[in-house]
Amino acid sequence: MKANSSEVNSLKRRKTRRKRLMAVAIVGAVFAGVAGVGFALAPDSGVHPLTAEAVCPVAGCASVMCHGYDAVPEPDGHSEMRCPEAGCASVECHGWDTLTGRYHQASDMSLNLWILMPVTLVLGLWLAVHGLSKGERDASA
Amino acid sequence: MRAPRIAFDIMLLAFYLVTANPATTGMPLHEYLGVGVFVLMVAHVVMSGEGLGGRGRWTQRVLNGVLLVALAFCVVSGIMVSGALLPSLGLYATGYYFWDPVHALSAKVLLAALLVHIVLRIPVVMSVFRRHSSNSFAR
Repeated sequence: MKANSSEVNSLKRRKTRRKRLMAVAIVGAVFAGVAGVGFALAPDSGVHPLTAEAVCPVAGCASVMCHGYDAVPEPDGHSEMRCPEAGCASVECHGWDTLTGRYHQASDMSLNLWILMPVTLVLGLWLAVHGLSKGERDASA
Repeated sequence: MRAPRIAFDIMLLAFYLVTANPATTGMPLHEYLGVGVFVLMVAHVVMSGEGLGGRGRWTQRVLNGVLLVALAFCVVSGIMVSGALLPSLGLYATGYYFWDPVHALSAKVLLAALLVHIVLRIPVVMSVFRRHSSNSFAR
């Protein structure tokens, strides 16, 4: 009887291990598939080593004196920016707005809050109603 | 489902909710927290491996599939728009104007699917809490 239960336990453990390995394989396959789809849709995108000659991914500038992400310069009237979509270069490129107000900045806080706040409100109300009705039921019983 | 697993999932949810609002954390912390949440989410998926294929209704499996694909898109695109994590590794990525909208969209889908996932799991969590509290009351 004891041997039988240990056999059942080891069978269960083996089954769980197999399921977990399968889950790891599925997760890996999904991530590889998603990366594959993304790079197929945007073949120009990729990960490169960061060197002094590396071109700015937004402005297309390859200055050795890169200002980095934290000190984006204002449009100065003579520095040109290369548009990543149209390919043109201009001193009055609207990409400056993107660079100063959008690039590497959180932009979706309001939308996340718009989803989270009603859900929290509905859940809170549901819990309150559930708790009150349970209290009433208990009182009447 | 056991109480330690539920505690882990609640901690994961709290981490995720902080990470999902980068305006409150700032971008560099958002990126590093994102990596942590990704690792914990993979651990969560692997620990509940039955949900990916074997057990549950087909709707639940579809929801799990949506969650996994949204998570994958969110993580891969997050790496491709990284401005703190990649440079700290001596790397940078091109294709920002493709990957940034993908990141924003997949994050919204992930958030919406996660909320449905949580609402569906609330009864299980409540039953464990009820069992736990009745056991401690009996003792």
